[in-house]
Amino acid sequence: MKELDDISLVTQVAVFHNRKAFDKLVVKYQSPIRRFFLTQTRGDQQLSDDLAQDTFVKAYTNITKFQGLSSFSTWLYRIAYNTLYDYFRRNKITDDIDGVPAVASRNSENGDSNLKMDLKDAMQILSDKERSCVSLQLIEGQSIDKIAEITGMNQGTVKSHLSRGKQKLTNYLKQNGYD
Amino acid sequence: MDMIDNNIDDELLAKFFENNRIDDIPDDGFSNRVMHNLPKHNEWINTLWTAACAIAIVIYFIIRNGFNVIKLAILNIFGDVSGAAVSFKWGDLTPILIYIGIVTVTLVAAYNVIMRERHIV
Repeated sequence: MKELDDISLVTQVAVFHNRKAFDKLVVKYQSPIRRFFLTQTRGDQQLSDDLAQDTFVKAYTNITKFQGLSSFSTWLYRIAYNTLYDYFRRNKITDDIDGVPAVASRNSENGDSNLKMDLKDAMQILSDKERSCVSLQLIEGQSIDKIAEITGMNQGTVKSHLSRGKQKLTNYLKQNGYD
Repeated sequence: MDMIDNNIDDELLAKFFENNRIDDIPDDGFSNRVMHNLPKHNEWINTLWTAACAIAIVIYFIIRNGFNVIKLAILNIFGDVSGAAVSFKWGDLTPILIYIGIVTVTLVAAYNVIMRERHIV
């Protein structure tokens, strides 16, 4: 039913350029998409909102390219993921040799009220790809095949990033007395 | 604690993410900002597309002599109703037919009222 609702709204946007229908999609998906960016940028709320806005604008301008082969939410997450990595490439934000992203300390200075400090700290120890895979699975509840669709990686690579990310997180949590 | 290969503790991770669950983020005007930043040319295309469809329908209506088609359809309906009324034989109505008719209408009406009360219809 949820899928049918989305397809109906997408059709109205694609065929009739119905902005009200698109507004309904934005209202429905703003929270998961902004949460995804919030986790990826380690809590930079302003950057997250800018990237989320770019994602929705790209979704609107490319809505006719949505073929319905996957769900609308998967398609939207894929745009969000590409928008994030375009941003990383544009700003040359890369992981340093220890796998700790260079942007982490900068972003942690930007206050936000949604990402809890423990989670923010834990996410900082992961590489970008590991963080994307782990947050898509453990925060957004996506399955491995959906994560593969969203990230464009094959399922083996996704499993590998998940495994490494979870190992790092397990060690981190134990070292910090969570067990 | 349940340990699996490669030092991954799924139970610990699940507990950590549950404790640090990020609640739904309130909209706080975000949707409005997105809608405000959507490109305008699509709106122009929308208007053009609607106008083109409306013009096409009007042209098709005129070419196909739409007014005559509608007039004929109305006349046919009226003719069918009046013909049915004239050909109806009132003498064929028996008390039992009238009784069955009243009972049927009453039952259908009662069913509709009950279903509406239950919000099923």
